[in-house]
Amino acid sequence: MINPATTQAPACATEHTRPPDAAALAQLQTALVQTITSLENNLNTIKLIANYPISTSEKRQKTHPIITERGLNAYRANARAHAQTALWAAYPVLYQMLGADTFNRLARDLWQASPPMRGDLALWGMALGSMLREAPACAALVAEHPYLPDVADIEWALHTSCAAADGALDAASFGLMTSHAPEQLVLRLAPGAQVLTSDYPCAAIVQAHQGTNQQSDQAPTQAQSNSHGSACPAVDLSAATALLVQGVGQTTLLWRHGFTPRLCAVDPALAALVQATLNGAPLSSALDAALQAQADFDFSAWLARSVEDGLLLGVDAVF
Amino acid sequence: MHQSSGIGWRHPHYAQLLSELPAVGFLQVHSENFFGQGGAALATLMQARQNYPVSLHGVGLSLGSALGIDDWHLEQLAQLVERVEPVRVSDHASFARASLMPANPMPASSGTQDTVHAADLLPIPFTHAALDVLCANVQQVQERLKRRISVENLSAYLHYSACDYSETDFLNALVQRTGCRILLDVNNIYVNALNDTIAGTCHNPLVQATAWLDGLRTDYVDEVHLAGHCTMDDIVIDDHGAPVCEDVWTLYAHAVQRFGDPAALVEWDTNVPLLEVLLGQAAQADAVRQRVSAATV
Repeated sequence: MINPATTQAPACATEHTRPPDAAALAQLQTALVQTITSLENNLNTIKLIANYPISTSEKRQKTHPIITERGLNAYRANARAHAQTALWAAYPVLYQMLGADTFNRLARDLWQASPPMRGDLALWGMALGSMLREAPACAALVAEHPYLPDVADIEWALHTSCAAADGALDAASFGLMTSHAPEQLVLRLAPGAQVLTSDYPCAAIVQAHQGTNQQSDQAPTQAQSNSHGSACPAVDLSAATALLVQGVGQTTLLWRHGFTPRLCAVDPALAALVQATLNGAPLSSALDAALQAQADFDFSAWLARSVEDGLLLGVDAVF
Repeated sequence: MHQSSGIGWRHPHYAQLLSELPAVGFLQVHSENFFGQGGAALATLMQARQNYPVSLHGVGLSLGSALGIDDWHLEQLAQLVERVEPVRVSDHASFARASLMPANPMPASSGTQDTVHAADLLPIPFTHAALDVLCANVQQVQERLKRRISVENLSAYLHYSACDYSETDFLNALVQRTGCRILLDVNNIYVNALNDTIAGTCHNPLVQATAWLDGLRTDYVDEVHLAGHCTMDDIVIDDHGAPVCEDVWTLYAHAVQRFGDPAALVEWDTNVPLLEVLLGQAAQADAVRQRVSAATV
């Protein structure tokens, strides 16, 4: 075994540095986190940190004066990598649409403008849609591609649905529909169900890009044939482009079928039915909303289809 | 003889491992990847749990943060621990959470607009104040989880000039005050020694790292991590992206001799190799342990 007798003592306090108390420790941590999340090589921030007892020891600074900056750069590089990877995981379609350079620049900007608040990076990135809409630096990009913020919102909804509580079909519950009035029932929708409306054909845009971007959020033993889960006919890029040229807007319905995120462009009646249900309305009110949007809405046909598509899991008697 | 060595189980190996169920002592996963109430990731972990012990290793608790523990994070972890019933629960002697308001860095147990999580394992100074913070946070986690946790030593790319303890004395004091255990990352010690060598403060990284091991109390270690690192021009990065190097194997043998054969784990997080390669590293760890154990009988 190795003889430890020849080793040096660990580098430790020098006589002219005093251990920080709790408040100073908090300030020191704030300074370091702010410096790292800035992602910039800024000499002022290094000087700022050097004013706290955080820099390398005097001996080290004299021996190797760049090591403080090098260490900070290592943490910044890690932060940049985290930002890109985390955002790519949540927004794979936007990554395809924008390309690596533009997308990674967005990741960097978002990290600086809205750094993570939680220790779970899967929760970071929600503000991308807002940043695209509001940040002056994104104005030119969005002027050229005005649908990008809405696409971002759809992707975030798909992303967050992946960890939503599981739901299972409760076929027996549909028997309540024969014993209870619609006023006494509420539809039970799949995890992650959401309705998002856009002036652009965003459901088609996302579906078209999903065709070349396999989701990887399935349990290995429970993979399904349609991994992206569109419950609607496949949309290719040319069809999505045609809708865009025609100025078509779409309302997108999203949900999780088993472990598979799904989305589909829906008509106003179905959007109204689902939105009313998500708002907690009983079946009677949800149906009224659907029929108001479209007088010939066929609830029975939708019922069978929605169970098959995994959107509708059951019915609950609540009154 | 302890159980066989474990592997860090990452996404590229999910399907193959569940399909082939190779002989592995235990699986280590990053806790945060399985937060949430449902979905494919959690189902996959629970499927694996039917066949293997699981060690939950966190990267985001920020145990050294002066802001305290994020209640949300701890609650997510507690739910996961309840579901998985892991063989061990661990995180790092580091911080990541801080206030965005430098003039008002008051304790904030929940994530707010004023807090930021740097998503990294940032070093804490080995001072009385930092030890108080770390102990309080570790104690809070242990009380919520109703179990002992393990705290891992860091590879750090910044060093504080102010300190009251050596790193090993700091960790020894942490265990004495909280009853936690040390998750000993041998590669981290070696990476720090290599960076000290670049800085000119270390003449022999293997000797320095061995001395580090000898500074830790012999009965405080309950898991050992082994991994590879990346050597660049002016810094060595603990990227978990290469095979365990010879010096780290040597240090591991010393650790086995000193710490009484704690559970060993091979981590490989970037440039993830074929599962067979990772399993080969775990088998090598087993071989080292058997050799050392045989020599000391």
